[in-house]
Amino acid sequence: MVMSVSTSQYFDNASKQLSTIQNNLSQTQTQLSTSLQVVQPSDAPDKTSVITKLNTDIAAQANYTNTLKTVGSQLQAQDTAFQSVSTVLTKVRELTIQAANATLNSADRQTIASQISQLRDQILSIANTQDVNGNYIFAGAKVSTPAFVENANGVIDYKGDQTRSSAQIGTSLKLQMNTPGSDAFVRVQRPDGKGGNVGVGFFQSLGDLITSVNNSDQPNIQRGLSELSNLTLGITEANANVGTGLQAVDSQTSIVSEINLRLQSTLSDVQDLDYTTAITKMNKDQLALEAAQSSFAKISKLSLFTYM
Amino acid sequence: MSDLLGIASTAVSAYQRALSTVSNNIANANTVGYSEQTSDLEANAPQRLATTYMGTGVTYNAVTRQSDVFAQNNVISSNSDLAAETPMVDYANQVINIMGDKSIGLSSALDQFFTDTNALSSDPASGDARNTFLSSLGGVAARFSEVSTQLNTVGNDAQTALQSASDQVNTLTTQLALINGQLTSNASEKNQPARLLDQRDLLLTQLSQLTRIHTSFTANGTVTVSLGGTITQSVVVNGQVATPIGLNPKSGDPLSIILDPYGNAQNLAGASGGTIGGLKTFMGQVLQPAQKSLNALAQTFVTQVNQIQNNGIDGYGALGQNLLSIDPAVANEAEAIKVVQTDGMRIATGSQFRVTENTSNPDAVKADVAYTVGPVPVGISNPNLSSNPNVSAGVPINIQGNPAYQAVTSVAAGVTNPVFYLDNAQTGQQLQVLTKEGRQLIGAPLTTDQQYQILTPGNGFSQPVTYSTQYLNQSGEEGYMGANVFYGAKADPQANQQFDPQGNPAASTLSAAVLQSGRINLGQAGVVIQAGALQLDGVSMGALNAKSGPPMLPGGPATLTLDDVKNWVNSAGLTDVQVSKTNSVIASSKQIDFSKPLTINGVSVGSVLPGALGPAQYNNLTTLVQAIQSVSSQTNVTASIDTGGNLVLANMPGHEGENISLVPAVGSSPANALGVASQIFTGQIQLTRTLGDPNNSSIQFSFGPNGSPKDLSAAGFRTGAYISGTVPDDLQVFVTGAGTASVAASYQSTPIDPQQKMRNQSISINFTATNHYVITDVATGTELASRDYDTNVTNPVVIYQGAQITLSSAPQAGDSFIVDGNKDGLGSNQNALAMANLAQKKVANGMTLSDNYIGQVNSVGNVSQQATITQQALTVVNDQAIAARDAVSGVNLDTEAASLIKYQQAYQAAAKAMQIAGQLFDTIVQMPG
Repeated sequence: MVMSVSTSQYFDNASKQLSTIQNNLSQTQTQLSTSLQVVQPSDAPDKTSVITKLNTDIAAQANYTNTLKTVGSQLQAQDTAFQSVSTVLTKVRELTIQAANATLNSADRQTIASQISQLRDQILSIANTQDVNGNYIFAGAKVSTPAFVENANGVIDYKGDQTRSSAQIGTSLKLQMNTPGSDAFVRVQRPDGKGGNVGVGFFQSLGDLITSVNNSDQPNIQRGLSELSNLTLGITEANANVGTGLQAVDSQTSIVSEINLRLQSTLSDVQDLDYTTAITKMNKDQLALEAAQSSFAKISKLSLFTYM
Repeated sequence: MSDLLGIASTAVSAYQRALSTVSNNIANANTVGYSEQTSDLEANAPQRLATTYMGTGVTYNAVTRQSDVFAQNNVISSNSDLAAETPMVDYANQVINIMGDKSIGLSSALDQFFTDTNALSSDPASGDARNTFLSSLGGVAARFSEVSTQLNTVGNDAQTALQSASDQVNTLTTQLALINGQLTSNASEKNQPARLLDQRDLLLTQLSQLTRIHTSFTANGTVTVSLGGTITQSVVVNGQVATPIGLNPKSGDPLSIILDPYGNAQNLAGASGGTIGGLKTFMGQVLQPAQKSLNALAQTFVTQVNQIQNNGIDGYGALGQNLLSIDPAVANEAEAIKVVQTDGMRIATGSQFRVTENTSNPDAVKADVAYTVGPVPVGISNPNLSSNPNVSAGVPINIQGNPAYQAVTSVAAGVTNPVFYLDNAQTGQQLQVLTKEGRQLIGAPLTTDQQYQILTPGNGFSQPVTYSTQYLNQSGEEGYMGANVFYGAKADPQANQQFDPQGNPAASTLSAAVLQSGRINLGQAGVVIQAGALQLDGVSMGALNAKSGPPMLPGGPATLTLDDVKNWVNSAGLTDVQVSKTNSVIASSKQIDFSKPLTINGVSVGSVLPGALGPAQYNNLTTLVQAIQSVSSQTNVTASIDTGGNLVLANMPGHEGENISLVPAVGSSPANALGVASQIFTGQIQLTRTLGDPNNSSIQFSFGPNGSPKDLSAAGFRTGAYISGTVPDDLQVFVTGAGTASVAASYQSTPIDPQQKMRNQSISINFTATNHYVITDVATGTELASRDYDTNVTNPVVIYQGAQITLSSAPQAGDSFIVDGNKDGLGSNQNALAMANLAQKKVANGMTLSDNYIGQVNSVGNVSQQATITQQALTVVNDQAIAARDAVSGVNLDTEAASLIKYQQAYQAAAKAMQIAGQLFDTIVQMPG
């Protein structure tokens, strides 16, 4: 049996259908104007958690990018410092070799000693480099006090500590970002006269060299020359470590930006609007609305009463 | 009149009514709840005419209301189902729009916080980074609060909606009861006015949108409505009575709706569906769990951040204090998070410990330190050893065979002024106090066997451990970490607080040190103490021989007297030490029993028999003292009452130190009036040292190389192991030597946190060889431990009291490393890294903080999604139910137009019949006749 339709139900249904199509059109229009598939979370409750998670992951990558920039600039500063020290040490070495020449007189050696002394001061000033915040970069964690300080006896001692701080530059990747002064401006071993060895600080070794050149003390000039190689080696090794760190920063930066790009594109897939689909949908809805409107107008005119 | 005119007139009248009914349908085509009415026509009873029956016309029998109970019930039940989903969709969408929003939700604030934490960890010394960290921490707190407040608002909205829905239910049920009343005037539903039934059904339809209902109808159409699982449960409309529903005013539960809240309140069992059911489901299954999870997450966040902060060192070198707090007065934790620090330097970025290489280390070995937090220490580990120096409060010692020692207790660093007394010691038994690293502080040097037995991990010693007597019984600069210790019996000058005339404290004065012995055992004979066993103020004492006492058996050796002891002390030749003899017996006023007799030194003092001859009577303290005094010339004992009201017996002048015997006469009562033991009380000696240099005026009985507490007790003195002031390190107390004894103690137990102790102390690890190192306390130079460094294991580690020091390569002799509390390591970032790692730590129900929150968003999202799908499906069901009902009850204007034409034509035909009847009559009248 055919179910009869009451007149008021017919009108109700028609207006419901019209408003549904209009809603669809309005939704598509909002999507087009924001260029987002998911305008607000309730549009796609099932996707909200995915979008939030992706945003969190992207923020984590941004973290690493920031950290890498900071660490990179810190390592760069150390790299510059070590290269300058290497250059100065080469000059010290040339002067020492000159001083070791037996043909020089003691006055010449005194002149050389004062030149080396100036070079040592130059190294000291590099070793006490401060960053933009006024922190001493080679003092370990004791950044508010100079790393190397001359004590009452005129000996320059390391006053920092051996805190080697690491930075998180990936989910499970850490990178040492500072070099405690004692790791670069290394001690040298010198016999203590009792069959053992004693450690002699970087600047004390240079100081002893200056004294021996000044006093034309040939055996100790020779000792200084050999210690100089070890001092240079310490700086070179520290510089190599920093160089490795800088390479790690470079490669990690590109990895992080790669991951970031991938996450961004996944996020875009989830939440951004596909214009082709959206516009097609809008055209379809538009057509449906027009058809519904015109058919309603026509059908609603049909009534027996018009013929009575 | 079964004639033509009569028949036609019934038809005219019937079709007129039928046309009215159609017209009424047309008029009500758009009336909500109106059911189409049809005309019920019936042929009149025929009239017998000769052999046949003739029809007599038509009667308009009734107006029939078009309705179908089944279709109507379908609408009602599908209404309840659909209406239940609407609040779920609407409100759950609000919740997800709050929680999932990028600017309101928590996720972006957490992301920002961790970004700034990372920035801080890569530049911990930067003040800017510290302030940024604080402000983004505040951001997280604010966001927690914001989300929580928004959820509360949604909850309040839902609550209001629930209240309003239950009010609407009450309005509708009241109207239904009124309609029931009007329906009672007719016996049959068929005869009821259609309008009333339409209204009844409309009200039921509206009610079903608010909550699921059960209905039953009587023959005349009155309805009974219940909200429960069956028609008899939670009835809200019964005949003309409507029972209201409402929120339970007494319960704090916002979901509790009950029947008749202000009358005979009853549970609304089984109520579900409709707007009310939907709101309850939303609040119970979406909102409340969401709030609960958010509060739990807030709690976790605060706990974790504070925990990490507490484990680090701030910019001032102090231990990190809490960064966040939760106001306990606020119900929702998430709303009550506060950042309690305003100074960026208070952020604990640094690690608690630091290792520094000595600048003169021969080698460039790099050291690293970690710290493991251990258990909270107990001051005195032995629970039976209370702070009570009485002999009777001591713990028993029983050492037989192997092992030849007994552990007494451990003493945590921070305990103050502990003294351990060894009582009733057997020959050779000693108290021994050692550190966990095998440094002996008090006692006699351990034999190799004892070292082997005692220095084990089971006894609390570190491994590897070595034994040292360097600090044994040494005090001050020679002592362990500057501690003052003493082993033996001692008395110090007493400081007496003085007050000036105004009552203000003035400089205290000292009174001389007095060392009083216990009762000396006078039964001893021969050599009581070997020569050299004891030392008095550093002077080695000779042998104590029993010389002048009467022998125990006739002809036996002489026994000990007080004079023997006095002479022995004097033989040390300490001119500033005076020795006196003394004896007294103190009877507490509480013990005295005036009904008991008393005999002193064999003389009866009083009798219990009233009126008896001889000794004086006593019945109170005064008369008792008088009675004792009256015979004092015979007993050489006097009585007095001290400030505490106790009775004190003492020797008469000239008889100092003599025995006081309370042994009763043979045959009398063993108990005496003083309530003390009826025995002989032997005398005591008392040493007084003239007050000179206050530091040197104490009296100290200590042990010589072969002395032991047993020797000291022979002279009547009690052996104690004393530590003055605060115990500097964790200690272990043992008794060595076979036999039984007991150990009592007095102390103030205030253990200090081992981690803080380590932080406040700098220790130096000095390698004396490539395979041996000593650990020294930097402040005092005390050697804390001396150990071998095992180079054969893969990763050798130096462990000292929770600190683990690892070296990058093999150390050389002369390498030294200092471990300290990192008081000035502003640039240290270890703890900031730990804070940054919180982003990855699974601390919230096995998830990271962010993932936990995303999980919460996800579960709300799933509910919302599910509700939307269900709503769509139920809309189709509801639409079909309405269409099915309207197919029966709805008014179709085309159908009505057809009916109109049908009835109009019939009416016209009937009218024609009447006209014809008239013409027939005229024809007859006009016939020529």
